[in-house]
Amino acid sequence: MDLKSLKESIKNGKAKDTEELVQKLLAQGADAEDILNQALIPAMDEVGELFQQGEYFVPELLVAARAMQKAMEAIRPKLIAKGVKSRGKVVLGTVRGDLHDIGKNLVKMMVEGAGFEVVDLGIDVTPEKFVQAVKDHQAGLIGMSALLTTTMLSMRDTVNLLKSEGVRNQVKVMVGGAPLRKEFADEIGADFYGKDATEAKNYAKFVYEE
Amino acid sequence: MIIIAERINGSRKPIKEALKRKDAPFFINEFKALVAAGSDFIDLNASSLPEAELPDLLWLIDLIKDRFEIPLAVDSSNPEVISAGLKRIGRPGQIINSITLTPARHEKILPLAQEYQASVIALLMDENDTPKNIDDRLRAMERLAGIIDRYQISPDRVLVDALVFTLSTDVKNGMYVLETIRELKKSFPQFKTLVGLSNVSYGLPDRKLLNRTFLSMLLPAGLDAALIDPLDRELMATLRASLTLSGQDPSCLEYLQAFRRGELVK
Repeated sequence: MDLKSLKESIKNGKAKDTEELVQKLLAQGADAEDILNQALIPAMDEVGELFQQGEYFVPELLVAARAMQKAMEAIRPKLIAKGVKSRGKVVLGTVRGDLHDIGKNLVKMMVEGAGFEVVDLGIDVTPEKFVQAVKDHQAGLIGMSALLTTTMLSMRDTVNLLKSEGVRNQVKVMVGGAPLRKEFADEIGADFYGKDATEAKNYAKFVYEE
Repeated sequence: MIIIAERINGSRKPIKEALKRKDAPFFINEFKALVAAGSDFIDLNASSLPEAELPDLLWLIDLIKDRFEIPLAVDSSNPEVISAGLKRIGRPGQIINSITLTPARHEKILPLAQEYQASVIALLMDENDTPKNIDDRLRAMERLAGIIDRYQISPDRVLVDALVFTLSTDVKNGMYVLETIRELKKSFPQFKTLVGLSNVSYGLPDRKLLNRTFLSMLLPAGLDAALIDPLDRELMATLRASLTLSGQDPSCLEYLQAFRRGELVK
């Protein structure tokens, strides 16, 4: 079976080829879960690594994620029929007052690419919305992004609201964005600072596999 | 062409650290270099730590205002900070950076532009949305023109930021800005056009190449002002050449002077 070409096709961001290859594999009787675990997830892992090493650039990440999504659409019905669950839920958003979504979207792609279900709250997300989403989706991890020194303070409000609403102990909090440092994450009581999308993905794995 | 130097920004690490240790010689040298490189305005953004923004900004203004005549662009998302900064400078002809269409961002700031006879940078966006294409930007411009009219500010004191986004996420982002500038010059010729260049190349290698090439595309389309780093020699040489090529340098004299000063070589 041609999982290797499928992996290459995703890495090269060929959405149409990817879709055709998946359909062909399914027609040949390939198992959807094998396609996911042996081609899709490893492909995005490699893409993430290439990005971290400075080999790949943002547009290459985007086209790879698009190809990955095409493949997911094709296998999702089979996965559901088989009762395969996602690896866990991750709530993501750019914080209150901040409209920058590139970083948040990169994290989303990498986390989804690793087999997690993402609840994307979009941009300008208030602490109340973050907390509500954690409750509604029973998520074990939230990720907040900020690009401005003025908006990153809102992360502290979210952490505090998680506490006062009594859900802080059921959810891990990761934060990231250009003006942030690990010290800031520690100071506001977040669990993790990720310097890029790959670190965020690795932390999601860590949270759900512990 | 109005050059607004964008280097003094508290989110950049060297600036953040120099602000922390109140390094006066560092900033005086920066200013000297920026003036010598041909800046028309110097942008001041002191937002490294939110609680330190106002005292840091006032410290910077006190440090440079009697040593340099160059006007400043007071850059903050906080109207109180902008107000205090303009008051401390105490001279007309500065720039306010910036307003958006969101009332909270312009209702307090536009009266300051009147009071201090300052120009103002206006972003073509509001709180709900960043524009995705040319039409979104032109719709925002219609609204902006209405707001500016209501506050009785002369349109030639408004620098309209056409909003540059990265090519990484949409390869048409460059052309959206180019076309917007052309349209603004046609339909709103009394306003000035401006871009912050460097966003265009986010996520791509050799960013400076993309930035300066983009600048050279925008000049003949009617760009009036840019937030750039004047210490980037290749960028400034490209700017010179592009001004001359687009017929904005009578008899090529500026180009020739730049040549004699050795500014056109690396």
